[in-house]
Amino acid sequence: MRAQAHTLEGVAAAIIVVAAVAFTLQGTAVTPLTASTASQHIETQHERAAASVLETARDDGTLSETLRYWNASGGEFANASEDGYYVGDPPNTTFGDALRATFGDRAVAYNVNVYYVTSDGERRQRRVVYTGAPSADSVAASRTVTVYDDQSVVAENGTAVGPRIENASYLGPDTPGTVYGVYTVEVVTWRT
Amino acid sequence: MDFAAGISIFLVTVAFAFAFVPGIIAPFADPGTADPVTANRIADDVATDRLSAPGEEYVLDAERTADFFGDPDAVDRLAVPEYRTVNVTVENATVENGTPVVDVGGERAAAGPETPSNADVTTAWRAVVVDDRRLELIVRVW
Repeated sequence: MRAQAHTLEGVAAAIIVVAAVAFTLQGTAVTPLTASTASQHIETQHERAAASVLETARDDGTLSETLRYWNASGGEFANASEDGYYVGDPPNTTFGDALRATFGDRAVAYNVNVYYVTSDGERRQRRVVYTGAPSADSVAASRTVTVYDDQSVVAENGTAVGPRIENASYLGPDTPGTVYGVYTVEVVTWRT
Repeated sequence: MDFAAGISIFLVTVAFAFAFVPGIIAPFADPGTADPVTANRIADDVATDRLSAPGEEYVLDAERTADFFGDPDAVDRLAVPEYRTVNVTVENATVENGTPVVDVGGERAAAGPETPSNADVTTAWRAVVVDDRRLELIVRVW
């Protein structure tokens, strides 16, 4: 009887020690899965990288070209998958190549979405490049692009090959005047 | 016998607790190994303001860039804390072998001391365009 009490005493003491450790663990805010300054750095880094690709592509017009790489008869992006967007890999346009060069070998996944306003005033999202559902630590950067009536549907290298945008069953309604529409292009990036 | 069982359970638990506790405080016990804030701040400053023409963020002006990298004390003009060292380069990410650092306007686009092999370096990079070339601006802080 007395000997069993020794065993129980050992177990009870062990439980107290484990409870103390568990309590300390609750008290510290940081565990291996907690967001740290290091992961914050990577999120900032990815956001700025996406912003810099968008900004440079908008400056030299290649972002607009990628939006106008369009299949006028199908009413979808040219050479896209059945669903109307590029799955996993961006188109071979200059902007697509820039995305590939920037994120391709860095284990960063990205989606490209374009937002426009429909004729009844609703804001719609259209996928351009879709890699999958973004994870919880994804970050996004966006820039607006204006597409004009007299711009044409282009080929991969940016040369005009198709009808003018106003006749190409393009995204959203044709706004009055020379502007066809204003589009917000968003790049969502996350670590894979 | 029962005493031996009890004391061994207790000792194993105590050993586990002592082995485990240092891991909990590890994230706090290692200060100053990395400085992501400085790296990001300098990268943003260089890519969007110091080397680019107004209104053209991330498009580096070749003349300004050559001026910056031509100055032997270029990194002293950046706001770097005294206890940090910074290295700024413009690199071509697609170079397979050899040095990825490019020349801009006749100047080798590298400023600051070489990165030591044993330092904890925080790297921030930005995609930039110089003379229609798509390059990367890389800031290393240690």
